[in-house]
Amino acid sequence: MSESIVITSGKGGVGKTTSTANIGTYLAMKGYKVALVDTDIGLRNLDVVMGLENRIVYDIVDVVEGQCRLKQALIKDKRFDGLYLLPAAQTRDKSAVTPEQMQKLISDLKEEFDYILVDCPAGIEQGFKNAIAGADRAIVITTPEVSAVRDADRIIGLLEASDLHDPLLVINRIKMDMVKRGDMMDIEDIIDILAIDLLGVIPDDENIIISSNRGEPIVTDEKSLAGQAYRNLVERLLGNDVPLINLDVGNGFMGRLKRLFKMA
Amino acid sequence: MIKEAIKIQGTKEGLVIVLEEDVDIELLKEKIVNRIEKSLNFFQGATLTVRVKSLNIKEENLEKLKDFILDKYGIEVQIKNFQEKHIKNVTDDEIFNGLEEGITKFHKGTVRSGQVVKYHGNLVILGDVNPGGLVQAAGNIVVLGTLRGIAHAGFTGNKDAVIVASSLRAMQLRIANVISRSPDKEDANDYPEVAVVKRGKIIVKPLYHLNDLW
Repeated sequence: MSESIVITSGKGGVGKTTSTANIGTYLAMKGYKVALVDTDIGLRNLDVVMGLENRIVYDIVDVVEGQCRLKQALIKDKRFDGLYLLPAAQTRDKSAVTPEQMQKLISDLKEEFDYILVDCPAGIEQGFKNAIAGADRAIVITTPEVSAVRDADRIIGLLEASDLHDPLLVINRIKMDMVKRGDMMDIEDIIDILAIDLLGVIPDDENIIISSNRGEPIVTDEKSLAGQAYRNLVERLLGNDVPLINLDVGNGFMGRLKRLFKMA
Repeated sequence: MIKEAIKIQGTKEGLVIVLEEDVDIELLKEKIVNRIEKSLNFFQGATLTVRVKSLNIKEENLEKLKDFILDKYGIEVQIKNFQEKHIKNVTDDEIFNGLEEGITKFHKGTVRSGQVVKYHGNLVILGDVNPGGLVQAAGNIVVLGTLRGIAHAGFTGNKDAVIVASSLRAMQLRIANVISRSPDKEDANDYPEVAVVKRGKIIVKPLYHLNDLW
């Protein structure tokens, strides 16, 4: 039984694309057949984060316009079997695809894949409407900032209005030392406002930037704390009970030392 | 003397009205009607071809204009884009053969992500082509900067077309229907290089190997 999940946030730059890449990669590492769909037409990024940019010949707009078959546009990942990317077009805009076409596309993909992850563009306009059109479930990404939480709240309301109930929350880029000092919103504060189930918390980690630039999702890095957080998040998505990892380690020398021993 | 914006020529495709300037639908109508009324007998029964330099007119308006003239004077009018006819071998179905010497476009500036520069001839980019940018030419492509995006030479089918760049770091190179992508671990060279099709594959070499071009 296959499932389509849209990854959305409202606000830009909170980690939708990075999360899509990491969740999809780990699902594939666990043996599922996964299709990643980039719906950010005109501002595509998922291909870059996956390191597959130079393989794009056809894209999502070519598929819906009938210029190529769906299979021709799907790009096989260079590391994991069963992981495929359907890239967005870069030379078009969001109006090149309609929600009806997206629904058809997702249902076609469902015949081949266990999971279809849809990377949603920022905003609440047509790109958002396209992205959620064929989705069974939604993951809402936010960061511990008031503005991001505000936008997440708006998105949750819009998802509910489109009959996408019970979205799951991912809090990205949390800095425990700042939370401790009272300079950053706590996990509790965010859940208090948004009142949806928490799927995972990803610590702020500069290695994510490095791995995104290299086109290698951090979830493949055994030693990375953020990678571990993504792996746990996927386990919870699959229905397994995994506690939140203790992110409460400082960034000083002792903190790094402690982390080293914990991970070893 | 004021340059006449409308000329009449007799060619093998019949009588041709050439409009040198950009026109809107009203002006086009006025010009054609004026011309026909001036010498109605001359035009009677002929097919009239109108070529305009740039056609910023909706298809349905053109149809209305054609019907109007057909009804009023019994003259059939064809309206064609000026440029299309002046470039030889330019339609998508025909292979462009002007590689050594042919019509060329010079594009000023950087081609950025999401931008497409397409030309039915040879194409020279006076700038860079960034990742996500696409340059397409029926003939050769020369990039006088760094080519980081996608270049498609000979897109109407000419496999002899070449791609030249001062610095060739393209994401993808396409010549006619042959595609190659950049290696995942790339060591880019800082001297000019040329990409050609050899035995069905695209190969890249330093630009001074010019003997086997075309």
